[in-house]
Amino acid sequence: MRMRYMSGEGRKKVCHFCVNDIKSIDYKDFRMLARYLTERAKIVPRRTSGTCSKHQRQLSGAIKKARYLAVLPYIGEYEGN
Amino acid sequence: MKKYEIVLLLDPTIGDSDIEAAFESVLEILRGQGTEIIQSETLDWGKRKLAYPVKKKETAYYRIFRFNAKTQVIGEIERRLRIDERVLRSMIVLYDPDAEKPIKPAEAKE
Repeated sequence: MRMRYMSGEGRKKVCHFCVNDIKSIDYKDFRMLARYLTERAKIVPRRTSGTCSKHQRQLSGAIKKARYLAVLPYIGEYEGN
Repeated sequence: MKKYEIVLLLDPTIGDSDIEAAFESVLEILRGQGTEIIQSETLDWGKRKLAYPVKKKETAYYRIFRFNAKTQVIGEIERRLRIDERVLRSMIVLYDPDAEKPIKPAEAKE
């Protein structure tokens, strides 16, 4: 469900938050937010996650709040640096 | 009056036995500014590991409170919280009533 690559006919990616009718993204829901971070704790771009622009803006704001609270990392653990 | 939400991260060295009193005395800072804390909406996340060290601490006591306050007092509350050494970090945001309810079913699906 995380990343759907275009294959064959090409699949339309849909915004998870629109589908689930989420009006406003909660910065406290860190488990959900963590799904939108890469290994290095970067925010997953819209082109990968399929999130719509409205929700992507909310999502990035929520992630940044959660980072400030030390609930989510600013930098991911990357082995071999 | 607006409804706000404050996240407080308190120093882990306070210890479990004194933490209630510590939160209570930090809340006095809010009450001193004429805010009204909505106790029934308090969220206690307990002692959590931090994603990165804050003031050389690896853990912190997390608690989230909601309160009604006048806009003008928020700056003063933030200033006083920064002075208090038990507060590792705090964040005050406007309460967003849309933020939580619809998100629960999505989380339950996991």
